[in-house]
Amino acid sequence: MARIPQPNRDQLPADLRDAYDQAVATIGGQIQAGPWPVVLNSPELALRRINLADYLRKGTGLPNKILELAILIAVRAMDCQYAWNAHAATARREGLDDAIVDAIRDKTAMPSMPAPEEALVNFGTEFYATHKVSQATFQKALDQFGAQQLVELTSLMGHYAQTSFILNAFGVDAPEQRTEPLLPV
Amino acid sequence: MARIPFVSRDMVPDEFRAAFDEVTAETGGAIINGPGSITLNSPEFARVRGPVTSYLRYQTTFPKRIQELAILTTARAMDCQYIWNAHAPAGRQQGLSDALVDAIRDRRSLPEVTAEESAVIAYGREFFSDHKVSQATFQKALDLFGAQHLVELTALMGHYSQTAFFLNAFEVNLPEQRTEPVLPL
Repeated sequence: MARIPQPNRDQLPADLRDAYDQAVATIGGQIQAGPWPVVLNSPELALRRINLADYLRKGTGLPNKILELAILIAVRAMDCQYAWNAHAATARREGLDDAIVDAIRDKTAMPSMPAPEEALVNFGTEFYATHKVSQATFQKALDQFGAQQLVELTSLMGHYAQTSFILNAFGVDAPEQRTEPLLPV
Repeated sequence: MARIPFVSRDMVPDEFRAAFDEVTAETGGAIINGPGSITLNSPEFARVRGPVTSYLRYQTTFPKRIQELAILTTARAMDCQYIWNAHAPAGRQQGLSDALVDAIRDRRSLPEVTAEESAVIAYGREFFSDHKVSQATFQKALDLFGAQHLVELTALMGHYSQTAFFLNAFEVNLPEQRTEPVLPL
């Protein structure tokens, strides 16, 4: 149970009910878990944020394995148990090496990685550790992904850091039935 | 000059030209500085992000002074010179005291502030330093702002931490004409 209940449609201000209905329809019905029950307390924000998340998750043409890696980097940096539990499993299914997932989780030395994974891990972890990115790391990531996809990966990490803020601040915990070990925090 | 050149229309693949045109309609076909100059490398992402930004900044009924304080708290936590320089004057204009703005910038102890200001600062600082928010801090913010506005405040800080990632990683330069001292790093 999060720190606030999910909103009751009929108690929302009348001018936000349309946005609420559209948002619920777009996410595929009433979702009881994760960030949406919290975000739906601001229905218009929820609706706009869904469009943004949809593009980053489905519209960029980046391989799912790389998208999931970006998500894991951000949620590990933000210590978000809920998003970690949801996405570590997805990342493994998408073919991300177990050794990479486990090393990110445990903050141990990274195994040898393919060039795209290595470029992304260095880019994301440098930013979250120091709030900047060295020229060498930036250049490798740019050469690997190009400007458009590097912007999209940056955005995706930023988006999941925001999601982590929402989940952690509003006390959305990982479910009791988990397939993944918790993040050591 | 950032680490990548700004995007001109002829650089954009045909499939993204409509999105490019929509995003740049207000600025006459180019965005040469600030976060928009980076996000425009993914025109479709820029197109879906715009409505989130405009909701969080202009359509929410959240008080402007608190909004600017949330942005400044985020810019300081993420060491983002560009956002700080843009929003410190806006925060002062909206009625944040100079002593408060300067203390956040220099990480000194805060002057006396209102209950709302204190709640926002504590909420943002706890999340950015610990990645969680204590029950007491959460409850104070919830009591003062209500669920809808607290969700929006959280999303706003997350949104600006994403913006800080673009600006710092892609090294978007500060304008030459500045009225604000830079953040001590």
